[in-house]
Amino acid sequence: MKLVTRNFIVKIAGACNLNCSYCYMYNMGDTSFLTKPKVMHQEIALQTLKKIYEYTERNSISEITLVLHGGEPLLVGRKWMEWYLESINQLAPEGLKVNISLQTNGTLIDVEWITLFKQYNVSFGISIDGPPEAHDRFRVDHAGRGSYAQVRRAIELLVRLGKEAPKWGVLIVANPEHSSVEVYNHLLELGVKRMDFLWPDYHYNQPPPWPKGSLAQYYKSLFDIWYRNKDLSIEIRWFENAIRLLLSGETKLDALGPQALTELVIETDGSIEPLDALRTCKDSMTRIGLNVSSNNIEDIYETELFKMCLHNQSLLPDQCHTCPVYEACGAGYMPHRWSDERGFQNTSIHCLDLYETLSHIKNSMIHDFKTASFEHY
Amino acid sequence: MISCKRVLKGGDPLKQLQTTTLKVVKNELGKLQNVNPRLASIVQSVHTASKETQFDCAFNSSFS
Repeated sequence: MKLVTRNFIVKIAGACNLNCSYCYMYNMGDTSFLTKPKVMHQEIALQTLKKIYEYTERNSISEITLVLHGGEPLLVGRKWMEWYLESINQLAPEGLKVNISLQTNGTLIDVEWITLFKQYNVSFGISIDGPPEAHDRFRVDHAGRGSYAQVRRAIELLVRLGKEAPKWGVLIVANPEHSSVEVYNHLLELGVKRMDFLWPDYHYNQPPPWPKGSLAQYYKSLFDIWYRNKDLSIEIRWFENAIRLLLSGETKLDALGPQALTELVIETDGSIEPLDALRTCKDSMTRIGLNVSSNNIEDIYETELFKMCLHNQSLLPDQCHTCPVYEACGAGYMPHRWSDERGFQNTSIHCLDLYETLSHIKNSMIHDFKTASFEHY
Repeated sequence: MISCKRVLKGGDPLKQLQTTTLKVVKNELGKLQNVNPRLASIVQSVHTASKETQFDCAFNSSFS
């Protein structure tokens, strides 16, 4: 089957009003942001749409997702954003469904932004790491001040608006120094319904500072309380995808499961690049010399790094392919496999924790299937 | 019955524990609903997405 890209991450802003200590854009060793514009020029933004839409037509793609990203994408300003959302719709080829989503730190969200996103059916994620003591440790502005109060204000506004707001959720970066259950309960108290808990960005050159098993404990505790919550409107995306992978082999996440990594990034200067989180592995790793001004989207398929993304599963060591949770894991997120010595030919740096977590989920499912007296054979 | 695309088989090579497989029948999803409505809901959505008529989802319990 031909591998095509359906998810395009468009970096409309290269700057951020926060300076989170774990940010893979600015604080994990990559310096390529220093040479890029703070806001995507309109000419590049239109050329980006043109190249993406031409690509979908040449490849008979009927549905794509554009993720407006940064930096902090709201720094482009409302006028720029409205112009671009209108352009996305106006320029789309007939018959192409374009889903638009956006990832924001939430500090600038107000009623006018929400109204604009509702008008253009933009779903969005807000980054929050839990209560103030967890959030403000890392998610700080350039003066070192925590951003919790601003983000909370945005979430409370969205909850108040209810169905008048577009679809939204929150992203949390897992940190086992804080209780996952407390973070989860805090978000429930705020009125959050959709959440995702991201595995933190580490690899073999920069391993996590916690003992092995800490993240597994974090995720298992979280899974147990969510899995037994009878309010089915509470979503945790990673767990739902893990269950779906265990049932059917299908996932909607690039960070879990044994699939090709087809996501593409268009940088603020028009550079066409593979998954942006790969920049945590090596300074400027994702700079491969392509640009929407002079290249077609397909050109990235001829680059070595993107070929590795497409065929990342074939790089895995044998122990992955014989692992009982391989089909739900796929060695997790590709950047977490990096080492200078072996490139991506490693298990995940979170291997043991992924194994324990996915085994726990699988066992919980088996327990429930057995309790429901499904037939053994 | 409704169908998963894939049947999970194979034991844990490290533990070599006994394998148990389970068959989930669509008209028995109500029983799963009573045990865990969230799991029943995801099973149902997987079935809907698969558009297949048979659910024959086998698990091994080699992590127990």
